[in-house]
Amino acid sequence: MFRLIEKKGYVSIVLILAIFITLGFILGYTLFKGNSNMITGAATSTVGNLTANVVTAVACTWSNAALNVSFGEGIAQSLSQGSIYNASKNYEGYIGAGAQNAGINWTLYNVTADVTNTDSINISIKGSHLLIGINTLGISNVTWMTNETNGNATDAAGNTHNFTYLGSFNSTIGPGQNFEGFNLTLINDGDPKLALRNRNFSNQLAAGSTVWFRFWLHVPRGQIGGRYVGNYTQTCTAATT
Amino acid sequence: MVMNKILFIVGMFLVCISLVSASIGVGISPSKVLDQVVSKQEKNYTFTIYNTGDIPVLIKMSASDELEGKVRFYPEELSLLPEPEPHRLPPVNGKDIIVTVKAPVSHDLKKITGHIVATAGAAPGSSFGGSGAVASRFELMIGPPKYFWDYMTDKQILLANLVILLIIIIFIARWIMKKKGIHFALVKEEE
Repeated sequence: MFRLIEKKGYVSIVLILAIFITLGFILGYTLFKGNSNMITGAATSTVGNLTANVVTAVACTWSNAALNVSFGEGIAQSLSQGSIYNASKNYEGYIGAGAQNAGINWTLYNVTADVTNTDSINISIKGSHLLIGINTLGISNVTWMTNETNGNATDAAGNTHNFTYLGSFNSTIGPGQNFEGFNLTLINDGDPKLALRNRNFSNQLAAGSTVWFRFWLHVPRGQIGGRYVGNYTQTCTAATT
Repeated sequence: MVMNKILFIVGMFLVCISLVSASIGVGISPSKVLDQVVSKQEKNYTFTIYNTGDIPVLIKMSASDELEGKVRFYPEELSLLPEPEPHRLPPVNGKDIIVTVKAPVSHDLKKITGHIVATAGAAPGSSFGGSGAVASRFELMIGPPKYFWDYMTDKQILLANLVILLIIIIFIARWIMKKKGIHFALVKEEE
């Protein structure tokens, strides 16, 4: 009987040891598995004594005004309900010889694809609501347009509305009345129409090219007064094709 | 004295002009990454971030789309000096970021796509501040696990470890109780 107990104790110890070893392997694998692979952003291939180092890169540069937007004129501008306001630098700056006198192609808001870009780029634009405390001025009240040369923003029907604040001619309602623009897409907004517009801020922008743009703000009737603050983000990505 | 004042005013004027005409830029290299890993594999990628504007910028790193929550950055933020003109590749003042991607568990060959995003911060004090960002397209083909335990997620492994630990504790308790002659018994309470 004593021997049987002793044998049972021996079996228990061996079993415990086996479990500890298994546990050790599992923990060791979980905690200490290393990062065995390390690659760099540049693709390098070596065949014999021939080496090729291919570097791909994309970069964009924004005018200082483009990332520092305010609406209305003056330092302490106050905006009225039910009106549409230009961003303060919409009609400053100079972008083309022929258009200088016309005065319609002036804006300080622009983004340039760097000359070193190895890919043409797509630019998207998204924003967050303008807020003061618990009050919200929806981001879709902010409208943008690009110039027609390098921006190619089109609506769902394929119509271009670039840089035509008052809208292009419409046979039903006449000239200058069909202002639609492109409302800013809210970050995480799932609206497919807005997503289409979002993609089309600029497509296939070549290295060294610049897109000019303008913003407008519509202040809805009944909007609570206050100094609202919001932001937007433009993202440059290598074009897929 | 008057000359000094004039020089000061002219200097301030030039500073103002340079601030007005300042630009903010950011670049990322490589512009796209295509790679293949196995489930649960961690892999490091080096991205070079550089400043194509003409003033120093603070850059924040993030991941979007299907890469969200699967990526770590070292460092997550960095400040960059402008690139000298004319810009060229590789960048002169660019800095490297290590991006660690951990592939999720996938039983079949699966592709996840996302972007590694470098964002230059918004200007403070504006009513509608903007941020400029560049994104590197990232496509990762994930193969089935190499070992059988790779089919398990970290949570499942942790749970399995806890169960094993519990079994060990029960065995040890039983062994000690047996040695000391202690035992539990279910006894019906008599009235």
